[in-house]
Amino acid sequence: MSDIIVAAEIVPLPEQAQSAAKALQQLGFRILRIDSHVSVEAPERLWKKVFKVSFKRKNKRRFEPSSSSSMEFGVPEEDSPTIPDSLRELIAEVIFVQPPEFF
Amino acid sequence: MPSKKRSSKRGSAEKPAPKQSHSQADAPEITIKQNQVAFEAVLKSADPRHSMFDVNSALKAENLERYRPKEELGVRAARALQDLGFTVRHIGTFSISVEGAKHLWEKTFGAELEDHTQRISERHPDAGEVTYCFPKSDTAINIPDHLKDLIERILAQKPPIYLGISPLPPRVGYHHLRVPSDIATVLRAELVHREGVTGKGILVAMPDTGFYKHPFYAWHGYNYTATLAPDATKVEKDDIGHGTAEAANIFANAPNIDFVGVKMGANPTLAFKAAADLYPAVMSNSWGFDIREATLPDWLKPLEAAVVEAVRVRGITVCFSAGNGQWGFPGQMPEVISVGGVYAYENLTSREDDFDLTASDYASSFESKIYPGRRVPDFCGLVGLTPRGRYIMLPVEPGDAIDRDMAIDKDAATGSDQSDETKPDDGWAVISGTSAACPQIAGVCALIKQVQPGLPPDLVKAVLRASARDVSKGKSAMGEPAGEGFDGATGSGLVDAYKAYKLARSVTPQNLSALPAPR
Repeated sequence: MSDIIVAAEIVPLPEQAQSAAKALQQLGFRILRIDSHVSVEAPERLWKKVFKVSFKRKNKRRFEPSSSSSMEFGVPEEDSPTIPDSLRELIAEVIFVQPPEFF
Repeated sequence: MPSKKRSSKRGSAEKPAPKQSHSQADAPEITIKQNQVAFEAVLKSADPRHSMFDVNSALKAENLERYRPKEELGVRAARALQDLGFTVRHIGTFSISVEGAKHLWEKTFGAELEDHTQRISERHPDAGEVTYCFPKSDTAINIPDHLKDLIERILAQKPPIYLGISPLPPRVGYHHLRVPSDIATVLRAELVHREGVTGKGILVAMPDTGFYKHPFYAWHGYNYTATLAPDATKVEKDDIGHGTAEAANIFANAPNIDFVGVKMGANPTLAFKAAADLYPAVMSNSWGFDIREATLPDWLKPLEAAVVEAVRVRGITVCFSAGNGQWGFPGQMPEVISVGGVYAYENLTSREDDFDLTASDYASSFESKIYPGRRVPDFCGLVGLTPRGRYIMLPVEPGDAIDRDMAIDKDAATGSDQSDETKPDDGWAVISGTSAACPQIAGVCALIKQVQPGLPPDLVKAVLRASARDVSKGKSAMGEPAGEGFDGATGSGLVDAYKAYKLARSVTPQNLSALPAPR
C-alpha cells in the first residue's frame, strides 16, 4: 500500500510558530504556511515515526453526483497524537485536516 | 481563442495540406513539412546526480531546481546543434526546441525515422490529417560524443491532437439554464449590467478543485486567472471539473470582475487562507463539511478562525454553499453569506411578474446546532431538483470526472437515466447544487461592491436579504417548506440583483456589528 500524504494544522505554543516550523522542517515535514498555525504535510510514515500516530484509509466522494470524484485520505486512529519531547515546548496541538465535499 | 495556431507554418508543396474545418469549432492549421522532424534536446542537469528521467523522479515545482542546467549550457548546445545543420526554434531552461531534415537526424543520431499519420481532431474528422516523422519504436537514439556533456536526451515530438472544445455548449432536450445569459436574466443581473455596473475593478477569489482554461472563458473575454494553494499542483488541471464549472456562475452575474481561482490541495484551510491573503472584495466557496453536531470538531477550528478573520478583520464578503442535503460548514457560520437553492421553471407565473419559483429539494436548509439562532440559508441562487440537480450547462475540463459521470451515469436509486445528454469528453456538463448558487450570489455581491466599495459584509448580506424575491412553494432537501415571507427552506428567497443594486446605491455604509443592539 502506497504511503499517503497527510496534511495538518499545527497549533504552536505562544510565540513559538517560527521555531515549531523550523523544528518540523528539520524532521522532514513540508512547511506550507506559518501564521497563528503552521500548515504542514508529510507522508504517513513520518507522522508515525515522529508523532506515533497511524492512519486508517477513508474514501470520500468529493462531488456527490460524480462517482469518479472519490479520493482516498488518511484519518488518525488515535484521538490525539503523541507530541515528542523535542517538540513539547513548541507545539500545543496537532490538528489533522480532511478534504471537503464540493456542494 | 479556441486553439493556438503554429507560428511557423511549415507548408509543403510535396503533399496536399490537410483540409481545414471552420464549422463548429475551428481546428488549428497544422502543416508539417515532409521529411522534417521536430525534437526537444533536453539539457544535462548541473548536478550529475539528478536526471528528470530517473524512474523515481516526479517533476514538481519544489524539485525542479535539481534539474537546472549550468548557465550558458543551453546556448552552447544550441550552437552545436546549429553547427550540425539543425534549426533552433527556442532555447528554454531545461530543453531546446529544434527542427531538422530527416536525413540529418538519422545521420546525427543514428535512429531511423518513419512517417506517422494522425487525425488533427478526433472530434472533427473533416479537419483532416497530419503526417509527421517519428523514430521507429525499437531504435536507439545515440547522442554524438561531442554533445554528450551538453545534452541528456533527444526526444522527437508529435503534433498535438486538437480536442475541439467549443466555447458554445451543446443542445440538450430538457429545461436547463445556460451561462451567462439565463443566469443573469433570472437573477436580474442583466438589468444591472445595463446600468453600467458589471463588477469592474472587483476582485473575487474562489478556492476550488482547479481551473481549466476552457475556451468559454476566453471567448467571453473574462478575466479568469488562477493560482495554487501551497499544497496544490498543476493549476489548470481540474480532474473533477468543479472549479472550472462553478466559476462560470460568477461571471454570469459579474462579467467584468477580476477573478482568481485558488486550486485546493489536501488542506482546505490553507486554500481558504491563500485566497484571503489576496484581500479580495468577495470570496466564493462551493465546498464544506457536513457538521450536524452541537460542537464544532477541533479539526475544523483553524478553518473557523480563518473565516472569522477574513470577514471581521479583513472585511471580505465571504459566501459559502449551504449544502445539498448536508449541514454545510462553514456555510452555517453566522459571519458568512449562506446560499441555498431555488428552482426557476421555464414559464412565468400567471401574473407574469416573475418566473415560477419553487424551493429546490436538492438544497439544504437547517438551523445550526453550533451557532444558536443561525438559520441556513440566508437566501438563494438557482439550483436544480432531485435526484441529481441537473440544471445548469457549465464548462468543465474535457473528460474529467463530472464530464464523464454526468454524461453516462444512471441514478442508482431509481434506475432512471440521468445522463445530461452531453458527451463524456466534450467539456460541458449539466449540473448544479448550492455549489452553483454560491458563485451566482458572489457575483451579485461583486456588483454591490462596485456600487458601494465600502459596504461591510454584514451590510452586503442585509441588502441582499432585504431585496430578495419571496418564494412560497416547494420544500428543501430537509423537507422544510417554503412559505410567505422569510422561511426555513429558502431564507429570504431568490436573490434579485437589480433590486439589491438599487438598494445598495442608497445605503449609508456602517458596520452593523458596531451598531448598538436593537431595543
